[in-house]
Amino acid sequence: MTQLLGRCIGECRRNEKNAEGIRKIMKKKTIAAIIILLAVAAAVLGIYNRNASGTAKEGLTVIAGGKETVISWEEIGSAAFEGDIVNGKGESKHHSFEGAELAVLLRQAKIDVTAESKITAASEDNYSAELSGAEVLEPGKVWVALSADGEALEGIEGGQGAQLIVFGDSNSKRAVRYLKTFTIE
Amino acid sequence: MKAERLRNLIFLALCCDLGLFSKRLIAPAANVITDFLRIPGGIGTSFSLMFLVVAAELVPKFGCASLMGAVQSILAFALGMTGSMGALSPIGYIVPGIVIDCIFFISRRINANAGGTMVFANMLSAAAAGLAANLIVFRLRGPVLALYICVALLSGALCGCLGVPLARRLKPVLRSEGLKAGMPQSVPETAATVSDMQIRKA
Repeated sequence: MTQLLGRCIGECRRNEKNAEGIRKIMKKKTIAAIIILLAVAAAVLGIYNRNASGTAKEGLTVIAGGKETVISWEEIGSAAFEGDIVNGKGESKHHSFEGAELAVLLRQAKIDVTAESKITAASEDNYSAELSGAEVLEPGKVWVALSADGEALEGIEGGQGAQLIVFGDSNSKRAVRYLKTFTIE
Repeated sequence: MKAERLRNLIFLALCCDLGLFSKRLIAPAANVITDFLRIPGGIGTSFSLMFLVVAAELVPKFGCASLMGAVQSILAFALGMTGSMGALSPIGYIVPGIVIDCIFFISRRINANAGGTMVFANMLSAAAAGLAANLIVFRLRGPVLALYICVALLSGALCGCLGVPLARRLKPVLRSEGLKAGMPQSVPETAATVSDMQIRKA
């Protein structure tokens, strides 16, 4: 009787150990399955993301009348222009730039600007400056620079960047660096 | 202060520092992958959160991960390591800590497997950190956000798996019985037994 009871207890313990082992293996398998699923999802999304961003045009975005137009860096060109820029301390310095006049860019993109228009220039880090349509239409006043003093301007995360240049301002508050978007109202 | 409590606090402080600085250490390698995938991060955060998860597993007190997150945010502020979140960086440190605490709280209630809990805690805390960063700074949407969170979950799962053996090895050290005069109790006992045996033999 004692032997039988002992055998039963031993059998139960063995079964418990087996069940625990199976449970552990199942948990490991579940975690492995989740990791594989996530890896597959990441790979698919990664390929999709790379393809999507590869086809996206990089440049300045112009929003006018609810429509977005991207002007690529190549389309901006490299017309040389120069002038004096007054910094925050009131010191005036002469600089030479390469880029394009904003009015010309907007005309090329078939975006109408009138003297009454309000143009907001925003940077990648959401710094913004306002321009009037009259200022933009004034010849030689508002420019988009892609290089300054022979050096290419960079974006906030590297790569090509742009800067807004407004000649005649008493300080450089509207010289928006990392220029990204123009919104025309 | 109880020796055990002091030991736990020292261990939590160590994990805080390891979590904060390991992020910087693996950032160059992690950036290779994230740059390739064109996402703003997620891998380094998962690795740094592994230390918080290990600490939460070994110090079974509710709130210890949140506390560590808060300490990390203070350290990050003091050392100027706030990153792109700036003044809002404490949110990015504390939110994953809260998630870890909640997962361990639920896991202890339902008596769940420790390894699985660590993996899930690491996964979900990494995803929470990613979502917090996205809400504050990145503002990603659609497939890019999905990829960002997916990479955070995946790296969180892998780091969680890495943390399981680490916790298993540290557990006997941290969960041993109270200390006596700065030494484990078992050492003098063993020494006494050996010397007794030597005397008997002589």
